[in-house]
Amino acid sequence: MFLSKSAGVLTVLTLAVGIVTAQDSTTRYRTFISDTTLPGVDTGMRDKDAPRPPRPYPADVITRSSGEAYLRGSIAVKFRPGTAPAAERLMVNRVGATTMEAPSYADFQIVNIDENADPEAAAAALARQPDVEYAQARYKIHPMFVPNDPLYSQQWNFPAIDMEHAWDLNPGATSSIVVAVLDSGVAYRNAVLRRDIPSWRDFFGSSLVTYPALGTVDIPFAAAPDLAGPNRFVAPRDFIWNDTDPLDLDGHGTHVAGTIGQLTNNGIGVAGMAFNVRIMPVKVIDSMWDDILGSPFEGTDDVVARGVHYAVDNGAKVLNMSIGRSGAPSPLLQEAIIYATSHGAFVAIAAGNDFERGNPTQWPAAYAPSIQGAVAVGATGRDRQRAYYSSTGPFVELVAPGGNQRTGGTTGGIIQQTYDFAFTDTFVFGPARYGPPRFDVFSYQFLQGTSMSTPHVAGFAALLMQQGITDPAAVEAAMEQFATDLGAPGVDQQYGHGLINPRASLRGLGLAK
Amino acid sequence: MNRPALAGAVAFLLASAVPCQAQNNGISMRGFADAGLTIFTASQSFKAILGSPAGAVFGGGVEVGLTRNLFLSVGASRFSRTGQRVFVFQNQVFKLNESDTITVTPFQLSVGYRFLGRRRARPTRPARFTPYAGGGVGWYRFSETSPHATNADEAKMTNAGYHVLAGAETPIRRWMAAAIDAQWAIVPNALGDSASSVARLYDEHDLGGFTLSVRIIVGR
Repeated sequence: MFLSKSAGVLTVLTLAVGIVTAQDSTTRYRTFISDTTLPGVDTGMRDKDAPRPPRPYPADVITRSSGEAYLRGSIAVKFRPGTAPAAERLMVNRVGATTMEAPSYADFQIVNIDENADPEAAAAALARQPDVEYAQARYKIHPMFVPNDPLYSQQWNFPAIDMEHAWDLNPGATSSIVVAVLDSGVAYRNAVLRRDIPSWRDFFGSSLVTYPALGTVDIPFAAAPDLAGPNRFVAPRDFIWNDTDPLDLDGHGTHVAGTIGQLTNNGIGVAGMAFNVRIMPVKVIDSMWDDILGSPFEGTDDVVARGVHYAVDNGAKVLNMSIGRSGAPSPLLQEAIIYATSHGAFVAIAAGNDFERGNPTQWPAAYAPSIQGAVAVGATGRDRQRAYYSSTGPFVELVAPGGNQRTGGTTGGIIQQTYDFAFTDTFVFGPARYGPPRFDVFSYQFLQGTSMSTPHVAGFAALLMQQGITDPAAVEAAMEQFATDLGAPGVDQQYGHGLINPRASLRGLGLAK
Repeated sequence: MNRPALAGAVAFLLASAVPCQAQNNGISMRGFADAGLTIFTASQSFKAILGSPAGAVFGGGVEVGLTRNLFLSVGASRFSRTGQRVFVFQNQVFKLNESDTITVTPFQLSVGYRFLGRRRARPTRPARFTPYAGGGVGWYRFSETSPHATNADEAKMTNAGYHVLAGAETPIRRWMAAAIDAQWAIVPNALGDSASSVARLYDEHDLGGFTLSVRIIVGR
């Protein structure tokens, strides 16, 4: 009835609100001039480096004092099934929409609004429309790591969960299991990117300074030597650059991927949980260099949700999400995770590192308890106590080693191979020492955070699937049933069901014992 | 007791059975060997691990005739089968890639009564079928092991139980008989103590079950 009365108006609105039916997957925003470089350089342990500072958000992001951030100029919306396109346009027009896009790997749409409009208010107004399932601002997702302290070499995290005996039962799964790493990308291949690096402004200390343009430079990338191998990576996808080259311009995703599947028994470096799996790099988080180089997209809820859909649609059985945020809930992330688990994929989600910042509820971690097959993972230190940063709440379901360098010292972090940050984070020393990055120099870094505990659970899930538990809900149950209870007896808000116990879960049940 | 040892014991018992010609009318002794099928009371648990709640059982023993009707038997048998460890979620059993070998070795002491009918003054041809019934106690050795089990993981225990039995015997040679033997054993509180026990999940604690076997008896 509404539509029939408004037919004439809708004709006009159809012209007023442009519709882009799908994001053009062929648009290239960058060009790699070579697929080969010299092999990556391994500079070994970086145990004397200063802690890596937190990164600021780019200018198109609205940041609240509480730390939550979201994009200006657009919101995400999902209409109820069967809603006519004309009615959709009418509704979005009421919140001042200019254009509407239907991105790939998404069952929602991106509505562009005025740059000066409040996205949260616009989303709330749109959500009140009768045919809208949900509408939300495009909240920024960030990696869940805590900058590290100086470090020493020691990999304590695997003995802490008895992995040596767990690997007897299942030696690292097999290549039939694909684990998607939804993160800042992965150092998965060699390449040279030729790019013009413009000048940009940012705070250095307390002063807003200009970093000079570097001109056209060739930026080398290399595959992480202790991670890459034949047929190791499958279906790479970059939702930040909208291409199939999810190269890590940060180092976070490479470190996380290492804990999941670092090559083991190869005579170099360190081990990974499920060292025979194939890794699917899915880039859904932008880093400082992505922003400097002008990436067309940023790591927001909708981008992450598309990454989840992509990973599941391309065969991933386990998804690692060492990412999250506080602030408002995200229905589209909730739906994406339900999509994953209902299609046979297990999802490990970082519980967050904000315990000492008011301990706000973390998203999408807080959805995990209500979704069988998705687990929110807290962090413990070497002392098997909750790490000081690890967020607590009813959403924490399990804990795994994430490191605690406050009580455990430098080596209390989780060591894995990633970039040598001295060659990537050239901006941290100010404009005077600023220069082009190199993403082909690697080192072994101790990092701490629920970002680091989550891949333990993702790797564990891969082992369980290889062991025969193919249903993600059953994988979660097997983890929780055999977890080592820590803290208050039973399930509690600090440790959930407790510390993962891979060997016990992989052994499962016998007749009598 | 492994299979060769059990076979040797059965052979020894059969060889040591007193030939019927040598027996007097007092205490007699016969040896027996049997093969049968046991359906375990903990059916869901055995089915989860082994794929079936039932399996073949082999054994043997000695039967001592105390009176014309009353007999005492001592026997041992063995059930051994390999399946897989499991995880159970919402009634769905996930077979894990870890084998699991279950061995049950009952040692049983039984007293039975043979229904021979009245003694007659003049010997006649033996009855075609002689029914019997009885009961007794048993000790049930249970072991469970898997390739990657540590000593702490392995289950090795002996539990006491009791049983009732019934059957019918028929002569097939002058010194040899065959019997169909049915037995119901109860071995309470033998399973389900451990958190990693599927029997605990199914609330099945009895290691006993129903056994139907064919018995070959040597002696008279």
